[in-house]
Amino acid sequence: MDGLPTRKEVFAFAYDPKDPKHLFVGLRDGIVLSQDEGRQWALLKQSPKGVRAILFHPKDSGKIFAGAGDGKIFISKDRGRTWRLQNR
Amino acid sequence: MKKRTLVWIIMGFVLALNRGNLSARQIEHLNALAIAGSEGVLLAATPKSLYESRDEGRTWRKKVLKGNAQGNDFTTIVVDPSNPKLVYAGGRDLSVVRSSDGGVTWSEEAKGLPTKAILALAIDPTKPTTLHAWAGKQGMYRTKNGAKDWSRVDFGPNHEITSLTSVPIPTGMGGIYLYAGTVGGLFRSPDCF
Repeated sequence: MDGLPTRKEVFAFAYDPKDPKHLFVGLRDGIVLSQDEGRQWALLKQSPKGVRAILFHPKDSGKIFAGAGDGKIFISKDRGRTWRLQNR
Repeated sequence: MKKRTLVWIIMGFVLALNRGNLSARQIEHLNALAIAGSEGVLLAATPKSLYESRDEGRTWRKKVLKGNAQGNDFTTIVVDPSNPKLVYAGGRDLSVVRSSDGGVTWSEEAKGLPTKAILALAIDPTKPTTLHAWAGKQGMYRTKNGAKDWSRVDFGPNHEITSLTSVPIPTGMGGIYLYAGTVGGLFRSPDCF
């Protein structure tokens, strides 16, 4: 396997089903997005930190769920620009 | 006892009961998420079994698992994108299990796997009967027949995998890429070998 630029600990990973070159990675500092298969990355401001799961809704790819290790669930309805805590 | 005091005591009991119910409707740990079934139920793989939410993650209920899923420590869960009722899950103590009714009834699908500890699963969205399973130090395994049997592929990356995903980006060699999120970064491998 060849290494991609993200060398930090990866907690979660997902791709956008509408455009699989758009990759989302959950890091300790938040969720980062690459729009070119992983060559360049940008932090999604306001994204939840340390999430263990990132999930695109299969029928509405604008809607993304993120789950933290402690059970907190976050939802974004604008492809990751803004996030809202669903529970707690 | 005065009537007003009694009312306050009853209200206190009611509040305490409600708090208990709310905490029971949450999950304390989470390893993976998936959406399954025709109703789009959100499933959470946790160390204490599978949980489901029908309100986009606000409240959760522990699933009653039928069939022969032997363990509880779920690490990973994926859904067939062409059939949302077909769900695969793995865990530290249950190998790979498969459900064809959206996660209600499960059967163990471990033929060819070397261990009960399956830490990550990926389903190929272009050929959903092909899945990869990471069995920790035992290596990477693959099925091409919907988990009926598995065969070893290789060691996988040199780091502990936290998430495994088949991404429909063509490799140029007839396959797609298998991405592995690990404690040492993100890796990818052409899955055609």
